[in-house]
Amino acid sequence: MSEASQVWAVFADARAALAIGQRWPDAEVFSSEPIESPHGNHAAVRTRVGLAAVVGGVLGGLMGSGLASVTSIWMGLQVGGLPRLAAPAIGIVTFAIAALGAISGVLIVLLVRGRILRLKLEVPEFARHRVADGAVAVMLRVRAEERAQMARELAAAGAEVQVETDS
Amino acid sequence: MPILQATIGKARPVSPNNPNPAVEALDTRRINADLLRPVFQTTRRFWIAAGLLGLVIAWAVAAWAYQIKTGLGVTGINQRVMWAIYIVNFVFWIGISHAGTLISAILRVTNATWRHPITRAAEAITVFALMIGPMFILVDLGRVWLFYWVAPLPNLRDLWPNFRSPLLWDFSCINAYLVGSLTYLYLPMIPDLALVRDSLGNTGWRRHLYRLLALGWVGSARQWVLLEKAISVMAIIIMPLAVSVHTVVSWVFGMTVNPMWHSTIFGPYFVVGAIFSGIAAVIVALYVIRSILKLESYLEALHFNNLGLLLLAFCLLWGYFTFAEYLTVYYGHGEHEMPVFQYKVSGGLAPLFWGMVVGCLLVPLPLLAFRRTRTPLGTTVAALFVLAGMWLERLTIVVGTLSHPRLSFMWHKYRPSWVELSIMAGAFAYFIFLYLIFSKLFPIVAVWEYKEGRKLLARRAIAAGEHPAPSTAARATVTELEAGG
Repeated sequence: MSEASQVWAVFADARAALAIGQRWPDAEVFSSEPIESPHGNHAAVRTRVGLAAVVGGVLGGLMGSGLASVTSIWMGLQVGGLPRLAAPAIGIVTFAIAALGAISGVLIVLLVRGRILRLKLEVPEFARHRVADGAVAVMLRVRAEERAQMARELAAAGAEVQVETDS
Repeated sequence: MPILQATIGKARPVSPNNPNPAVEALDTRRINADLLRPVFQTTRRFWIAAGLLGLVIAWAVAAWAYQIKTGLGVTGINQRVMWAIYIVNFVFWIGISHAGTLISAILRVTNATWRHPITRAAEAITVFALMIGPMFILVDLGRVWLFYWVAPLPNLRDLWPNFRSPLLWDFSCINAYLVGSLTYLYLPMIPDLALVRDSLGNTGWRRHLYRLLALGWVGSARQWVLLEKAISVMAIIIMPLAVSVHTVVSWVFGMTVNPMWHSTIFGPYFVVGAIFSGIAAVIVALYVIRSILKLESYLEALHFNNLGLLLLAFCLLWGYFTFAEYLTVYYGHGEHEMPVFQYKVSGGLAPLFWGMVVGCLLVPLPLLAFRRTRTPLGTTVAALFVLAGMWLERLTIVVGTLSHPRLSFMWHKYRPSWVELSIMAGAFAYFIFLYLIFSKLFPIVAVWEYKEGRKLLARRAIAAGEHPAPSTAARATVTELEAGG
């Protein structure tokens, strides 16, 4: 079996790009505007962003309440008004740090699962310039013997297509 | 690695039934060109404005340096009125910071399609206002180099942070809000930063800047799904955070047992005032951006109309809260409350108090109530009055009570000095300067969000039969997109 190649196509038409992506199982679509995944829709995708926010919020809340409680118990100031360990005061600090935890959780999931921290960009420069102009790039991973079929399908899609392969 | 490059196929011919490919591409280029123009082109006006603002900022820095060297005696602050114009500005700017993030989050959560061109301009206001507001705490400190004592850090001075103090609550909530707002501003900017990165040539410091800021964004479907989800979750997190910030700011006053501060409605009253002034700030900023950057076709009359209606709603809410607050005090006729009340309404602060009523209620109400005057200009004039009125409101709240404490022999007047006014002018100049630099470096109208908004409107138009139906294949895909989205 021949080795798989990565094939690039750049379309002026998002719909044609999506159609190609739907026909070819190992395809990824790139766009400068929000676009559907060719193999599923947004609502069905499990991003775990919400879960990360909840986990981050809980951890942040524990840290916040711990910081305020431990400090108040061990090194409390003798001032009038609220008791040394005052729930309303601790609650506010807990809330703020819980929010920070939730924000951190969201950021971490986005950066890691979205592969945004990678320095080497997945899309070659020629495609990125076209994407910036409104085109949609499609990356297909196909076997060498399928490349001719793939090229025919791309041509049939009718959009202006530039193809690059890495092998 | 060998690279095979080939070009196959031709662009699909454009016809009335198939209006999409080339037309959309051209449209995209036009939108990119319009919205990225300020980033790529620097005019002489920009340098002149930056220079003038720089001068004002330099003057303010010199005034602050003079204050640090000489002491707080150069200000109008005294033993009785120890919080004056600096704290007024702190509260005012924290209020302004409710502009962007909260408004943008509310509009995002409620899926208001008209929000797309205004969100970034609004979110940037939040971040810059949050950078400037707390700066006044530093200015207000006589010995600014001891600022870190406020932070909840263990230390060797036998002075541990007091978590029961609203000042520490403020510190926690403002910092959390600043981090949240920065994140909320940055996340939707990533695709546009990548757009600028990919639209630039290979050289220059700008390319490195955008390459760094855009991280590894390539616009894959996976990244889009994650980003949109992250923005939605952030919008939910940021709303209670924003409300908490101004509530806690109000508690800095409300938790003291001072006349006309110790009020149960201070929290919501401050939040309503903050959103009120925040919307006004957004309107003014949008009008300036629209006029200077020639973005009339992006920031349309519709946006000013809708924001004007929001401002009108908060104008009425603010009026209601103010009336309730003052009526309750007047009817109670408390021994210690009435001197403050009279000082504000008919005493030394009366011109400022009635100026507040004019600015926040009497001028904006008729301007915003009628569609004929709810134009971009009319709304902006109303917003300017609101901003001035809300600043006066903060002044009457802070100075009114402090100058009339419970013991009458401690009553004292306050007059700001040139140092305080200079620093205040510098803060306003600094805000405009930051905004100017931001709109120079980054697209002030979110490009991808604007395009997304147009698509949504087009889909609705197709669904409503107001738009010519696309070809069969295209219609099938539109249906798929709708089912998925």
